[in-house]
Amino acid sequence: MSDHAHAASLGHDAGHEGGHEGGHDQQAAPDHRKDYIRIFVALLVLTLIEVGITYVKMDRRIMAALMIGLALTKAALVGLYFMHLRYEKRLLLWVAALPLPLAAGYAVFLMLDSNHLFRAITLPWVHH
Amino acid sequence: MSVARPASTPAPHASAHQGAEPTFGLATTGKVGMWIFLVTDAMTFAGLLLGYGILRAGNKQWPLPSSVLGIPFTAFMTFVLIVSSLTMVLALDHAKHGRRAQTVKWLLLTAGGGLFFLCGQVYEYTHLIREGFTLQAGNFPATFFVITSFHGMHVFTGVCYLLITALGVARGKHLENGANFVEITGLFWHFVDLVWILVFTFVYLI
Repeated sequence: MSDHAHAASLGHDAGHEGGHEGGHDQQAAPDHRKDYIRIFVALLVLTLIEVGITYVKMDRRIMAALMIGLALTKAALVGLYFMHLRYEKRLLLWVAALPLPLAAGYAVFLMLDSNHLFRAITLPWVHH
Repeated sequence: MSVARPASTPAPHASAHQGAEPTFGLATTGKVGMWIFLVTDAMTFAGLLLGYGILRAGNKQWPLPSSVLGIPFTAFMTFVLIVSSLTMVLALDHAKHGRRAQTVKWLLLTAGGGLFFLCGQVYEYTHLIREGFTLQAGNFPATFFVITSFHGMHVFTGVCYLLITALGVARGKHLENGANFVEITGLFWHFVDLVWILVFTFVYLI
């Protein structure tokens, strides 16, 4: 099914009055239960992989990178499919997603700074 | 149905959607409002997680979380929250088909999942505090309790929101306009799940 067909099925083809069990106008909405269950299974498998990684001995930095990658994948699946961002207008997707890389960049900068990694850098215009 | 349109082009029937916000295509003003709230709320969580990261990055003595916290138990609580996200989308699916009784049933199951998660959090806190892992015991316990309890308050709010929505549906409301009200409730609940995915990874696993 195309994204637009899905978007329509998410209720954007409204203008109909619900409020009664099995209303005829709402019977046209397609069933997405299989898609939802697929995403649910993917989330479960990714969580099991995450927990499994904690029992494997490996470099902490590699482990952290793997965990962050898996967590962001799971978060993206929830946002795109369960919260239907994939089927909204692109502008709404940008509103939701744009602050994330900015926050991530800020986080990395501050954590590096708290580890004093920037003290080794000497800037020509800063006199100590 | 299969005619391709650019993603940014609203569907022809968009104007028929009651309360649609033209700038955001087919999304209603209520949905856009919830998204804007969720983005600002995400920034609050980002600030808390950032504080955790800064304190941890500058501290070589920071314990490995898995040596202090019960990972299998929390993994199970994560499972419960993911299941509650599934029950939420199933509730929305039924709402869009106009099935009132099924919608109420799945909304109540979702709220039940949230309540179960809260009970698990109380059990976890009790266990940790008895072992001396208290708010004053250092930066790790302090940040742990602030972040997880802040999320717990969101779960509590979500459970109340779900119960109010379920009550409204049972009374004959919220299924009109493409079950927009139920969908907005679902946005908040999925956000609670999404944030937990990140909290579980950053605070418990890494």
